[in-house]
Amino acid sequence: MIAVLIICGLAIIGAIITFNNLVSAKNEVENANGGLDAMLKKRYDLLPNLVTIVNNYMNFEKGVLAEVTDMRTKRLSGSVSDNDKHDLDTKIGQSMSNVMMSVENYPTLKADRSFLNLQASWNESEEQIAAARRAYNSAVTNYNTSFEGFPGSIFAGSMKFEHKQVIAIPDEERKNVNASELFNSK
Amino acid sequence: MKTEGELAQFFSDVLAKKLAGIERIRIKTGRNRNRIIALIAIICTLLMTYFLLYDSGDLFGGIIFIMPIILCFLYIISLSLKDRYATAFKKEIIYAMVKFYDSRLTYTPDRGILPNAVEISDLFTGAVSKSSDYVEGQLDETFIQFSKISLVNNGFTGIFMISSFNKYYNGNYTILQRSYTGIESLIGKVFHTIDNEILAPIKMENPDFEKEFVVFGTNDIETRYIITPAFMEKMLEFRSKANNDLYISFRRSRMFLAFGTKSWNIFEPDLNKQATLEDIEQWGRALQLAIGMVEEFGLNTRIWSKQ
Repeated sequence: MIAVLIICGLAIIGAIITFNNLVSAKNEVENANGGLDAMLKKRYDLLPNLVTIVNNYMNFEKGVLAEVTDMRTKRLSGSVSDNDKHDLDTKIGQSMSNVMMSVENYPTLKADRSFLNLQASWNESEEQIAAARRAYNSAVTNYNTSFEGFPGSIFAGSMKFEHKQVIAIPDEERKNVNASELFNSK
Repeated sequence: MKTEGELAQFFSDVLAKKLAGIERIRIKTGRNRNRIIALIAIICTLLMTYFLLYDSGDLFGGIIFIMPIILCFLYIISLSLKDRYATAFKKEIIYAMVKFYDSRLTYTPDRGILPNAVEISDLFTGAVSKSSDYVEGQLDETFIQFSKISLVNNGFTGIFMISSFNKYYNGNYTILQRSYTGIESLIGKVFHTIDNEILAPIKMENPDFEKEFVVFGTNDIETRYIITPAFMEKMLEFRSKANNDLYISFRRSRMFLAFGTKSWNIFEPDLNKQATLEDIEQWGRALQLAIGMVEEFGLNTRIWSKQ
């Protein structure tokens, strides 16, 4: 009888610990997602000013800038799914990265102090977004692992835990920052 | 960055002449030390003979009384002579080496990094027992300072560096070696200061990096903002070049870095023999690592809002 009670007690303690770990992993993902959103908001706050300044100088990239502005509006509308949000974020980042690369062809823009400040803030924001994505992916990996193995899998169904996708990190974010490419004005 | 070939060329063109110039001082200092030792040995022998012949009762007591005084005297004189030669040597040789690696740097042989800098870094618990060979200078956008240090209660002997850092951050971040002195071991817990209530261990996504280092920080995202994938690769490279423990922390807008040098003898001349190319190469590697850190970690990159 005592042995049965001990086994039941241990099982209950194990279940509580597993349950708490699952909840904690889930909260970590939400927390990381919140952190990523905060960094993205910083990017989207910068974007209108950057587009306005760049528009004054760069005739050839006007189409790209208009496209970026549309994507920003769509991204902030709240009517897109999580996966579409991640896609839009990546596309906006890549388009702006191309715009920044072509700044080299516009000496007057390169000399504009306001633009330089915005460009520095943009670079900073991009790197913070990259960091936030890595933090999110780390939390998602931990979350997925927590309920895919035993005994987490027992609770996963009843708690409606679903496998989450990590965000694909663009290759250029894995590389070292190339100052001469990104900031040729220096 | 200078190659080993360039250093060998510098040795034969410049350092060999300088070494020949101070060779006279080394020989003279060594001779003086030997004379003093011989003199002390003679005095010692005379005293013992006196006690043996005339002080019939208390030979043992006399020796016990006189020997520690003689040994202390001998030690102090030996150190003072060595220091005199070491200072002359460092002013000529190590100074020239520092300038060879970067002419913008200054070198002060008998000064060290301030002990409170080690405290601020939060990398080690031990107090600084010795510190010398101080180098500082502005390398483009980055100000660096480093010196050799040895810590009490810790066993760490190596180079301790401080540099300005090119990104804004608000929290505290520490990267420690996962070795027997690393934070996870029992010994490590005594040697390193990690405030577990503030700093949490953060798992990084590079498995090779995770095998070598453990990261503690106040904010998950800011940790990854500072410790980028490229930074992790650079740390692994640095660790492999240093072939010794490596520790980094970020406090008060600065980056603190410490790497071990196995012994205190680095940059120290030997009174019994002239410095060889091998000695110079070994010291050159340590200098190159410390000075090259600015380039390795891209600290001069100013593409973010911090200028």
